[in-house]
Amino acid sequence: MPNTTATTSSQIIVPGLETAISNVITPIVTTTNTTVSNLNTNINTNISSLGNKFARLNTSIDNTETSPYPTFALWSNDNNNKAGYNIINSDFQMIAAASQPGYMSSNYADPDLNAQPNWYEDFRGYTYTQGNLGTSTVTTYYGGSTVWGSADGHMLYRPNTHCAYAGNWFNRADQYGQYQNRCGTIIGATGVRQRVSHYTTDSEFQVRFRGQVYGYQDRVDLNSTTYATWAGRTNRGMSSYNDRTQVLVVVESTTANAIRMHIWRNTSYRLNNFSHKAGTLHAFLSEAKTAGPAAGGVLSSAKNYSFYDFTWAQAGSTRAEPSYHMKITAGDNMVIGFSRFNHDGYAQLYGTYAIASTGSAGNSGTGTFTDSGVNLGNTTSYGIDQSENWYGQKHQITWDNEWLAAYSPYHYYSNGINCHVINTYDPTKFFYFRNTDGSNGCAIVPFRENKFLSVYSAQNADGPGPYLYVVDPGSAAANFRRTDGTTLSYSGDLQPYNVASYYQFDSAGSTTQYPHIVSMPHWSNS
Amino acid sequence: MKIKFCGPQNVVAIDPDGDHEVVETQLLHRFTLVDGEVVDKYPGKTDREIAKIEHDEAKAAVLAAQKAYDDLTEEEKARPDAVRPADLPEFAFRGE
Repeated sequence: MPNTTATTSSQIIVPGLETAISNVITPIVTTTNTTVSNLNTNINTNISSLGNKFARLNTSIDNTETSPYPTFALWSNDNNNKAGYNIINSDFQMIAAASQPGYMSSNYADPDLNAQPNWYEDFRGYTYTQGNLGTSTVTTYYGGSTVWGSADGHMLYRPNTHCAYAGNWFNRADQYGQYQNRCGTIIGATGVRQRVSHYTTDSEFQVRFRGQVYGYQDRVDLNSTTYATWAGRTNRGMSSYNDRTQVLVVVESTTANAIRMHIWRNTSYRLNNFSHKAGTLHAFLSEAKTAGPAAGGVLSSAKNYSFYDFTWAQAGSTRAEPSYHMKITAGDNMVIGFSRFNHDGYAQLYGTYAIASTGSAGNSGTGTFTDSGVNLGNTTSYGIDQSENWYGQKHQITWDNEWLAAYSPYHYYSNGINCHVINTYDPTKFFYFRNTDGSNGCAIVPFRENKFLSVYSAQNADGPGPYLYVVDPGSAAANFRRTDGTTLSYSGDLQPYNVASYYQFDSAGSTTQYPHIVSMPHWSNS
Repeated sequence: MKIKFCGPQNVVAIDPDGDHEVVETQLLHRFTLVDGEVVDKYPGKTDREIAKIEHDEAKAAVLAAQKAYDDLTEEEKARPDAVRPADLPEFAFRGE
């Protein structure tokens, strides 16, 4: 091919040079243009999908956003005249503090808290921290109870980062317990704090705002053939919703431990959205019920409903707390975890149900229940049999929603802790930890990505400050070592109380304190 | 069985590699560490006997708190934070 671009009178024509250059350059240009075009598309697509994942500081409005890492508050109240919070983030740094008026000023006035708003005044003794819980009935210092906090809120404390000290930031302790105890577990996507509460009483199932003690946004009565093959047994908060698999589990039982477990799946709706609308429960449940059992298993079809009859009984389990108030973990692998507080001298128990067959319409599916045998013994201790307002097993879940902690007191109303930490992807995998203290609370809160934090509120805050302990199932599952370096395996003891953190955060009191811990109702670093 | 005491607050834990040999029991809160030695608050007692002792102590505390409430004036009883403690449930330890 001749060179046609030469225009001067003196020229050297190299046959094929232009073609050779073109053959080299053209593919490069084409590839580059394609790459740039793809990059442009990919960047925009990925940025677009990431956009909603960033946590908003103040108001959560988007169903796909993640939450900030957990924050928590340490409360102390020195006999009604030196009181306040330190609010700490998952970097283990203090981000806010709020103290009683006048306490931090140069002309300390020792204001009388008797004039604080009603809810504080009614329960102010519970907020004191200059002593331990002891064995006496629910009274002074009980804000430090092991089982007064849960994933749905704390019975007494409702701190925030945006106001100074105020008496009206307390919860109504005598109303909150029944709400907490009847809230089931909600297992979300990684980093999504539960956006609602699922409140169940027998066949009544409600969707509430998190912390909504009374009132609801949506409800159904499950005792209807529209929704379920309900057996008419009793249920106090025995539900678990997994937003990753869009599966809802609700359990009813008798005190003879005749358990019926209902499982719905419907991928057309979610039950953990900020935008939850009345009627969503009806649609989720009724469509699944109409579809009936999925022969290939719950996860094999988009909509299905099945139920399973079985028993799990042992000495002591024929009472209300162990029968009606188990904590349920709906695993991604469709193994269902059951946590049971068999109180009064028995144990905190854990077992799992594995489905073999989903059954046929109107007939129970089949499966196998396996008691883990990891029984965490307790002494005299109380559940909802004694009072649903003040006692009962509780649960918390980590930020990444991978680890669910189900726990109860070791001793009497509020002291010590027996806790199984359950993997929500595969509930057959779990760890445990315990503290057999007879006089002090050991409450836990979510911490960082995949951990919990426990305050062991025994005589600690005047000198060294609160003693805090990291409960770290995430690291244990990754490397099979405890925080103290010792090896462990699944079903093993995390022994968090081997490694203490202290001399970092002070208390608001000026004498020995027994501080209380609470997960912040709104996680935010500002 | 063997136990050990964990961390600066000496939290008791059952541990096969623990430092202290103790009697078989479910009630670990009976043990404390004093000057490096294990002290059993209830030597020779069974778990049931310990639970009964503690239940009697708790019952006495509740009865005292109830009497203190009963001795209040009607005006004092009307205060929202003046609550008569609930009766302690009957002793029911069955975990041995």
